[in-house]
Amino acid sequence: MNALLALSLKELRLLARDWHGLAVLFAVPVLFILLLSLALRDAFDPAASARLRLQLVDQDRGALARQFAAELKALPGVEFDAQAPVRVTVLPGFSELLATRADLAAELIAGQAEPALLQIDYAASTLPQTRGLAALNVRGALLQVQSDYLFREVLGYPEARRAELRFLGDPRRLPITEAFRDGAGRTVAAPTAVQQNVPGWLIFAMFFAVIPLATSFVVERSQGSLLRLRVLGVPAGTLLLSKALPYYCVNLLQMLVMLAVGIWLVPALGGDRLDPGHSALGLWLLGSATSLAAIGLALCVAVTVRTTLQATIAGGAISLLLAALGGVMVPKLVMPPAMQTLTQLSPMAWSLDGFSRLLVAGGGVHDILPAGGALLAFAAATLALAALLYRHTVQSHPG
Amino acid sequence: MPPAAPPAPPAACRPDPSAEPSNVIHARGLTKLYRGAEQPALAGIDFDVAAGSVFGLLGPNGAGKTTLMSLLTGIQRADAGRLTVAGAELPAQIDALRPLLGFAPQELAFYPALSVDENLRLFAKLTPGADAASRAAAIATADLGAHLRRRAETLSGGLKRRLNFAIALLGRPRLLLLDEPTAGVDPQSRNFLLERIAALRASGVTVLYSSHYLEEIERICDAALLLDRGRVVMHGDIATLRGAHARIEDAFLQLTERTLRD
Repeated sequence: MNALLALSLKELRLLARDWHGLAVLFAVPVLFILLLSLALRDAFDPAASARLRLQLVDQDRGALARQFAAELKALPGVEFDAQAPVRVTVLPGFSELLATRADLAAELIAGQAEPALLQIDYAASTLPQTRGLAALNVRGALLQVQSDYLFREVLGYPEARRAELRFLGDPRRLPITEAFRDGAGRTVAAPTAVQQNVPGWLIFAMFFAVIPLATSFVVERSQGSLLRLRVLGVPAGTLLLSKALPYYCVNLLQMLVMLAVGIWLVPALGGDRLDPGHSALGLWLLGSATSLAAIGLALCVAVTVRTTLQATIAGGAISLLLAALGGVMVPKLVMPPAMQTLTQLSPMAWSLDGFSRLLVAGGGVHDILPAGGALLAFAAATLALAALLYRHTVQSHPG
Repeated sequence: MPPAAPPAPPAACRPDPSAEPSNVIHARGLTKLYRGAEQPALAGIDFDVAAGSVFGLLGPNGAGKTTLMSLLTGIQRADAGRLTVAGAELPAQIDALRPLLGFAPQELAFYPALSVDENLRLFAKLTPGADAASRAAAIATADLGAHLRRRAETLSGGLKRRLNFAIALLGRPRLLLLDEPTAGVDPQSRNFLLERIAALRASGVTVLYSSHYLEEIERICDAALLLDRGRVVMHGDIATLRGAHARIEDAFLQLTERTLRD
């Protein structure tokens, strides 16, 4: 026990003096959380994704053009802004053509050439979904003007009747419900940017401990301290445990720091606030299971590689691959179904699923049992493999 | 924490009655073949080391010195042969030997980011039999008192060697295994270390000393074992090793040939 404590404290002391290691474990994930939670805030917000900033140029100046502008502005999410990347120009002749050409629709259906009523210009950087939203809103507003004109001037409907028709046609009153579903068709809650990025980069940072842990192991071996410890009779189990315990503490500290960043720092900088959920016990259990899985993997890499360069390359590549596959970088929900199935190959995806149940769906310990169990099984397998590989390594080399 | 006394060894592990009681190390037929290797690292070697002597371990690269050290420290098991150290059969009774054993590897086997004092305290906690008094004695022997607060990575080459040496002394060893303890240091530091080793011998410590610096072997060793390609080329006192040559290095080159080794 004394040996384990002494070696664990040594490991923490070495880590505290390794600024590069600390940067990798703490500063990098904090920066990723801040940058991506702020940059992708609107991308994860359904209301924000329906917002459309337009600049309107009225070259017609007729009554129907003014009505079109009013209809457009009244649509949900539409804002007029002189600096907007989408410009809608009401072309000269708009009002006259609509007023005098009540048979416009028939002519269009017949495929007759028709002078344009509206012109939409997009900034080159405009995203496809923004272009689609702009076109949809412009058509909606034009349809309102046309139908209103038709009901009023051609069919002679009274104002009350027209108001009723307008009420029924209001896109804000469409009888549609929406839900997010995972690859298995189950209804799931869609995360906000901060709900995706805090657990995502926390898990990534926990697994990124493979680099400092494996590097420290390689350095100990190449500098002969590992040999000295073996000569002193330090058991292999104590040696591996003395690596695992400090990194478990570091991983839990990472979790506290990343959660604090999501709860306080991200909203202070204009992003959404992270709701930590209702289960501190669930967070601790899931964080512990994730940590043990990450440490098991890190120890496997540590006892396998022979140089610090190998440790850095192998550790970095494995972490990045598992993160990309596991939905840390690209949310699982936006992946095609086949890719969503593939994410289950990554323990990061299991952990992310557990955190999603706690932080997005507000679940408790019961909800994270599948994810936690899978992570613990992974941890047990990798820790056993690391012990076997270590035993094989020391028996194959003189020093 | 010192290990508990091991249970009585089985008959096959009891001390060899043929071994001279004055010998600290008694090796017969030691053989070691690593997995996948074509040639054995050690091919049935025999040697004895007298108590209270400084015993040189010589040989070109790949001779088997490191493998022999790993057998003597109990971290490897011989495929065949018998090895008795201070009456303990190795590797079965290594726990009984550890409180008597000090080992300084060829590498600077400590933590560069820790201070001299932190390194000594850490290894003292891991060394059977070490305590505050033995730590103070090790610091005095290696003359590190003025450098305790310095990080090990900032020490000169000579000071690093002295720290490596001091860690080996933490448990007040009666048998000290030193693997190239003066590699890469200046003549002053080398002289200092050799004087301290001679002083340890005078106090009754047996030293097994591996080095490529043959003048050191000649200066401080009472006897030596010359290995080459896993076999004993010569075993005896320094005068026997030197033979008719003026310098031990000439004898070494004649006995092990001048061919470059891998």
